[in-house]
Amino acid sequence: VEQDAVERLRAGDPAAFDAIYTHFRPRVYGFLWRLARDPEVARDLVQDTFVALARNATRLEPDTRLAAWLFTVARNAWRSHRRWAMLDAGRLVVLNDDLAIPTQMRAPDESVDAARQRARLERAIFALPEAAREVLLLVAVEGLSHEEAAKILGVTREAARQRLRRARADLSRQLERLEEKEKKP
Amino acid sequence: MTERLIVTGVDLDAAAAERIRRRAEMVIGMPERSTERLVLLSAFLFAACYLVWAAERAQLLTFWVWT
Repeated sequence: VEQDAVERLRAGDPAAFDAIYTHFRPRVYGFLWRLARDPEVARDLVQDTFVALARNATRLEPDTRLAAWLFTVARNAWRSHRRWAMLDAGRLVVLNDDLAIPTQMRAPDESVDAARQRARLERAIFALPEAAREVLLLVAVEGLSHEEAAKILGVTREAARQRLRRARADLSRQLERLEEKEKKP
Repeated sequence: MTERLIVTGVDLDAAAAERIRRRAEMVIGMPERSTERLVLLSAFLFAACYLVWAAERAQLLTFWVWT
């Protein structure tokens, strides 16, 4: 199905672009939102990512893996943005445990406890260092293979595996810390 | 098999999603203008340098240079 979409996109078919955009937009947005920790920045970077896909549509290789391609472009867009944002202290996101999780994060049929656990998970992900966050988002959240994640991150497969292992350990520590904090009166 | 983390789906609001879709669809298959301009400028500069070099080699520029 993906190769078919790539073929149609290579032919400049707007319907193929629509289908790809509809399918991947929430994934790319979620990735960028959790990476940038800022919904407005994530929105701008989603635009950059899909405009890049549209511009390069007819020059894609026939065997392009769209998820890997899009997450590579999205990550590069974020890194480029971050370099510029570092020059502007006003754009820095100040993190704390009371970080607002958007209301859409809670599903209507979700129990209060499940919603609390999910919010805790989001805060724990947000609190991870960037290198840990990006590998965790690519592999554990987006389900990309270690090879694909390694390519996107520009590291070896083994380095990606190690980074993921450390990220999982960091995440567990963050979750425990947040749980302890919630228990305190 | 890697254990997956289940996070809640987030997405752009409908208006922003549509705005981005329209903007992207307008440029399907169109390379970046800045890249096009850069290529044209480079080609122009290269051609100009080549002409000056060729003219100098044919001693057409001797008059300019020595007088």
